[in-house]
Amino acid sequence: MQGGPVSGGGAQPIYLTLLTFAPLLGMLAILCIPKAKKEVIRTVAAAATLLPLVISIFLYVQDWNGTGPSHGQAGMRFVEKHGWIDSFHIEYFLGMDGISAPIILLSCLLFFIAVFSSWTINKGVKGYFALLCLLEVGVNGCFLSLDFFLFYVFWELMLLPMYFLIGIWGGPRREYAAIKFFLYTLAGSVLMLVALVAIYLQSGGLESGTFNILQLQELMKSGALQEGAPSLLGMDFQTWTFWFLFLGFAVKIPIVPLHTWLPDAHVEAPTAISVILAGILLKLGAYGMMRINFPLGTALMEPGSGTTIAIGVIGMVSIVYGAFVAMAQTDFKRLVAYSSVSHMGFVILGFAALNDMGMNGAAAQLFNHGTSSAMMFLIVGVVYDRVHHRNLNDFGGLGLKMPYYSGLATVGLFAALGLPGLANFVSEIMILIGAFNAPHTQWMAVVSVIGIVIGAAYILWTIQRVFLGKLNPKYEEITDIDGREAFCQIPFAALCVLFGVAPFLLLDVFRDSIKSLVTFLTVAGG
Amino acid sequence: MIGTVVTQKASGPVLDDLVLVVPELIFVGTALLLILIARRIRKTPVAIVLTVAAAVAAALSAVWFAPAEPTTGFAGMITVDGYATFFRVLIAATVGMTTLLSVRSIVGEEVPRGDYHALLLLAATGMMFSASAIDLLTLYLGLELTTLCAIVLVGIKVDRPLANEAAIKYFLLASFASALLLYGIALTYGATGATDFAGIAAALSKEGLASAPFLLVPLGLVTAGLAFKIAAVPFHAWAPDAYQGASAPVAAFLAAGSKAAGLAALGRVCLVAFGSETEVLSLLLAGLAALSIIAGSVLALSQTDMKRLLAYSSIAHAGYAVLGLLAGTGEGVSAMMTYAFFYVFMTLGAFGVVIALGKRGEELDRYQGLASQRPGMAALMLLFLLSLTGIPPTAGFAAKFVIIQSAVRADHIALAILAVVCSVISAFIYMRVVVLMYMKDPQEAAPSRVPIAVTVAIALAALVTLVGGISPGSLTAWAVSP
Amino acid sequence: MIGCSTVALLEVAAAALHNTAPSEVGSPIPLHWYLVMSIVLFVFGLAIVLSRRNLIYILIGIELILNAGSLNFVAFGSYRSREALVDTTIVGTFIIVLAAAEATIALAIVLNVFGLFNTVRPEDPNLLRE
Repeated sequence: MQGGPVSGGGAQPIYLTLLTFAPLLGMLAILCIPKAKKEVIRTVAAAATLLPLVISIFLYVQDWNGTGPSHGQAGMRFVEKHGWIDSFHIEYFLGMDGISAPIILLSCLLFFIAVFSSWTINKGVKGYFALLCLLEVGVNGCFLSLDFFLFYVFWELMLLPMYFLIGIWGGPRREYAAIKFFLYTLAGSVLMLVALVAIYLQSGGLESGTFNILQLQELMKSGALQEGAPSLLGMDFQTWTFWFLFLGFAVKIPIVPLHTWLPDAHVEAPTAISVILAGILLKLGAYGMMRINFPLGTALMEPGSGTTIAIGVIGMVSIVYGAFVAMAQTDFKRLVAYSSVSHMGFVILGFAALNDMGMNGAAAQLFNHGTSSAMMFLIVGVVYDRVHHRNLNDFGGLGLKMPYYSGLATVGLFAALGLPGLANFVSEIMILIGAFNAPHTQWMAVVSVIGIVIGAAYILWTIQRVFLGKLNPKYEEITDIDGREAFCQIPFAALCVLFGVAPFLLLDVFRDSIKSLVTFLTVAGG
Repeated sequence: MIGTVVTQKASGPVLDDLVLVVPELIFVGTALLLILIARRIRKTPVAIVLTVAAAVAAALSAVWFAPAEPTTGFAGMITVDGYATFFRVLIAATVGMTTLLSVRSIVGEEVPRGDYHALLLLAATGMMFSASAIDLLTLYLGLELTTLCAIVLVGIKVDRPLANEAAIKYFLLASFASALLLYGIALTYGATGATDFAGIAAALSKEGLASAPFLLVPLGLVTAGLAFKIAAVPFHAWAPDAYQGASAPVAAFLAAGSKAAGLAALGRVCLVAFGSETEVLSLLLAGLAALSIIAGSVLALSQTDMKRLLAYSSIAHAGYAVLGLLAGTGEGVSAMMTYAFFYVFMTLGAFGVVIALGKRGEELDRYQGLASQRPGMAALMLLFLLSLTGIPPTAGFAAKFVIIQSAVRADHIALAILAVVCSVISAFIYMRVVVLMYMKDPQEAAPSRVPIAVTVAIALAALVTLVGGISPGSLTAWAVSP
Repeated sequence: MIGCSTVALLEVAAAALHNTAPSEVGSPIPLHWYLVMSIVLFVFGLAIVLSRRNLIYILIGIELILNAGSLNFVAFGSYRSREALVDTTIVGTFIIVLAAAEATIALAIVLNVFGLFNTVRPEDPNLLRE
């Protein structure tokens, strides 16, 4: 692993606690500000999300240089560990490695941008920004937790702010979308809870059990958790807990056929919330699989096993199905939502390949889809704010009236398309190569190329319908993108270009962590 | 009791045992005092202050006089141990909070002053006895005292047809249940020659169900009788009617106190008396739990009356709590106790909001737009509903966690899955309330001011619900099984 | 139902007799006669509760079940020992007192219901709905 051995004793760094709970302070501050002072509230929210962003950039650079303090175990850095609920051996245990570093950066950036992208929201400003800050606490906490129970608490903590953000500030069918989101996610997470409890009890229960994710993974791999473990429906312990966890995470990603909440949530959510939903919440599912799910099921993760094939097929189906359905949409936002399903399918396919290339590609895709999908939703938001509809067939020729907007939008859309030179190309091609190199996913890689082709088709068609052609006379008065909107989009466009041209800036951060993950998954023995 | 009275008489004056029942004595004394001076009470606050003071005194004395070692008294009829103390404090808290909650609905309407509070205290006395009983007869007397007082409480507004209907329905089912329980106790005595838990356990361990399958009859009857008390399906039919017809504070009292007492009794009977028959018992209880959880969650979906909705929710929660008893181990019972503790506070809180909103609080549709009119009340309701759903960081999650853990530990994984899936179903109905409160516009004027006493009670419930969620160990460290 | 319960109860009786020596305080009537009587009371009570549509009759049915339990107690006690007979008689008295308390409350409510609804049929008041 990068960095030195275990840093002995001494005070623990508090970067990660700050990173996680700074938005909570922001939330409390916002709650104390009178309702009428909207500008103050927005500024506080911006400050509360800026601090984690600064910290995460700092940590990212440290990780990239390999200079941060290392815990030694699985390359975790900046570790914080305190007792929390001692009677259940639950700890407050945070840590960061190469896999979480970029995704934390993405999360902090998205929330920071989301504040600015929601600057024009005027209804219940106080509640909105308070919930946004709370949501960031949950998200960042999830990415940093190394205690399974803590992870679960943060995981559920996200549920409620998101529910309200969709349900109160959303579109016409917001209540339906919010409840659907809530129930789907809750259903997934309660299955996770059962698996979590069962694994904990197998690890020694009340007497000597643990929720330490890293420790549980070692125990599971060594077979220590299997002795006398309860089976379910003929599946052995590792198998059923694996699938329960998988379902919990898969709902969030979401995979076909558990994806139906996503288009509804996206369509109804306000722009900034869609950005966060697509940009970071979906990533949580995939991150959870990498961090928790797969390492707890090493026996199933033999390349070529039924499980890996099943996961690969799920990924492939999501890619192709998502792309075809996106093609059929006339609602701009729905199209982007289904394209998310398709692009997240690549991540799953990369997992299924179970080799360095595929896994690295998947991790990169998490980041790159985060930036490109966030940008696409911002693009939709800009035009929706001006014309108050999202019907793709009703646009046309906007490029003439909104040149700057069209320029930026094209970068984002081309990134999503996977144009060489932009970030998504790198990650998608890595996934496809990885999948092609693994015998068991070879044919899936071939089929998934259809997804890329269709993806190119619907994005080009969208560009044509929105920006090119004759100007729809209705939009003579339309104004170009303003400074705030440009400010929201430029960071993402820059990242798309930067990581497209210099992918090593991203890949170097998690290369070692991914390597040890793949080794852990595929090489037998503790 | 039977067979032991004569031999134990020599062990010392029974008066010494009185110190074991100080909390009960405080309750009975206050109740009698209230009845005596009922005619002289000009202002209801007198009764309220007396009752709350009695509740506080009972809770304090339950802790203060708690012996270091489990002590039995009254010729082996009751015992005071950690388990009894835990439930005594819980029941005293229930009484105190119910009294505060009933400030408004009892004033103004034609309820005899003093009587209401006296009945509340007497019912609580019965509950405390059933928590400390180690003899089926004391248990029976305690439960009967509770039930009879509760029936009168349900129908205390004698001019309201709804209350009368609820009272008569509650009476029919409850007295039928206690008759079954009594018959079960008689058969248990016939088969084992004892009514005290230790004696039953000794007889059963000599001659278990395997050699005497007819023991199933008394076992089943006793379990059924107790299942009535906690409103577990299929013995739940009274709960929705009783809750809806009774005034809201009484419904809260039934949902919280009655259930806690029933669970306390069931827990001790299962663990101590029938402890050797875990296999059969866990089959019975698993059936009860599964049916209660499914029916409670699913039937709640179609409710439009808030008290009825909470009744079905309480049925489901009875099922969850019973999951803790499946294992037949001390840890399982501890989990049940934790669950009962948090459940009492979150359900009192939810009923508290219903009470605070008056008539408006009793109909689901009238919650529309509450958040914009009474943001504080809506936020509290949200907290209690989340807790009932079991979402962190509320006490409901801690409760759900320990109970699921105990079910998995007992190898009832299928039941654990059923429980969590049903919690998603019930999340739907709770979230419907949230949708109405937060995502709809108000249709009527803001509710009138809430009496300070009601606010205090709700705030207390909210405090426990929050602290219990963030640091559950601090509140349930006393949840030690007998 | 009656057959099953009777068989079960006779077995209870057998067990009870097996555990305790035949007692001099026992009456000349064999134990299982009492038990058959009690099961008859129980089943009648149950049948009344489940079938009659009149609050007063249902109340009587419940009383029958209570008395069945009470009879059981005393019968078992009398076949065990003198002390047990004393104890069970006390229990029997308690049950009678409880039954009286129950009946008082029940009749009060029934009267009130009759005043409000003008009926004593339990299904007639139907204001409470799903």
